[in-house]
Amino acid sequence: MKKFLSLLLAVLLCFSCFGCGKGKAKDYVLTEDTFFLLMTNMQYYPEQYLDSTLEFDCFTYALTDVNDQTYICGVRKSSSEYGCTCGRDTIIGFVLESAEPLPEPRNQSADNGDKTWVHLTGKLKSAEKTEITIHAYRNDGTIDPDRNEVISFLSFEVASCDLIEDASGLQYYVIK
Amino acid sequence: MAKNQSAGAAPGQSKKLRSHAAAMAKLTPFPRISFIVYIILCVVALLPWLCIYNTDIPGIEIKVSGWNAFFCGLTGKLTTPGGIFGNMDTFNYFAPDACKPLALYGLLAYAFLIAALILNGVMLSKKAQVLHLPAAVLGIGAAIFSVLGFSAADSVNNSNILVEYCQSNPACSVESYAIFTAIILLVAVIFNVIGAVKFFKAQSLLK
Repeated sequence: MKKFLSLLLAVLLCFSCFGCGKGKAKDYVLTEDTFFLLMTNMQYYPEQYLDSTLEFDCFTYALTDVNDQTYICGVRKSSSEYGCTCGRDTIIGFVLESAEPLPEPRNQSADNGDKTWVHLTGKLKSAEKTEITIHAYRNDGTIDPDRNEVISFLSFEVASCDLIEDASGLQYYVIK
Repeated sequence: MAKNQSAGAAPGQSKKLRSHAAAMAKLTPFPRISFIVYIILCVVALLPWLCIYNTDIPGIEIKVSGWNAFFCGLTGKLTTPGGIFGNMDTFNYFAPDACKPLALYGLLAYAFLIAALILNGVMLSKKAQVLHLPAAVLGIGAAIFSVLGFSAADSVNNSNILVEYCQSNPACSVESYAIFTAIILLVAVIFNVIGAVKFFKAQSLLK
């Protein structure tokens, strides 16, 4: 019995160290398992990542707003509002800011993983989100110029960007 | 020498002692049963105290388990991702007013539950049946905080989580199974209460 109680206390102590998350790490490498989780958390609580170096794989995506301004983003396809697999599909990621030219997005209109994949490192620029107003899509995938929707993305300052030749192990569509 | 004195001193006293010993012997199963129920409760704590249930998936889309609520209350970290046994961070983003009390009640409920488990363990190993009453009190405390946790989880319905996170999808709903913790706790408490009553009755036989 003493052994059991000691074991119980030891387990509780261990869990209490990381029972509510892995938030103590300063830098984050987003893997296939943690991409969605960390990306949504960054959207929710960007302040706690401002000092962290982030590293992740994504594909480049050009978002053109209603004023014809184009934003190059690093994203993956996801479900609506960062998490619900019950809504409309959308993308999750960052607006990319880089001193160097970023690889051009390709095959953007096709709903598959044949995209320009990159490995990025860098930091969040700030906790402020950039709101990009785009024309909404109809159910058939065509653009509806009469309706707009707003995408809010954090800005990511790219420190390094490497092209990924073989993205076969990377998930185009991420869910929890 | 002492044995001879006791045997020969008072037949009435000896009868009392035998009755007391018999009554105490009947108490043996109670701490064992309540201890097992508390162990079961540690597993039940993996059930969601708060979750988004989505019939489109179907199943639980995202959850905060009893252990997650406990550890979030213990560490005060409600915004870190990838918590063990749950994701308080997502719920906290949409419903912080509900998640803070949920974490507090989770902490208190499982602190009481663990204390009750330890008391029952001590009772089992030391045969200290006198601990039935404090164990019952701790169990009742844990049940009360579980009910409060259920109430806090239910208040998440007042937030905009279903509108924003689920895009008002009717397939989504906010659920909580914290009430099961309270119900099962009452089973453990009943055994502790019966044990306490029988213990005090057994003690009264000595008077």
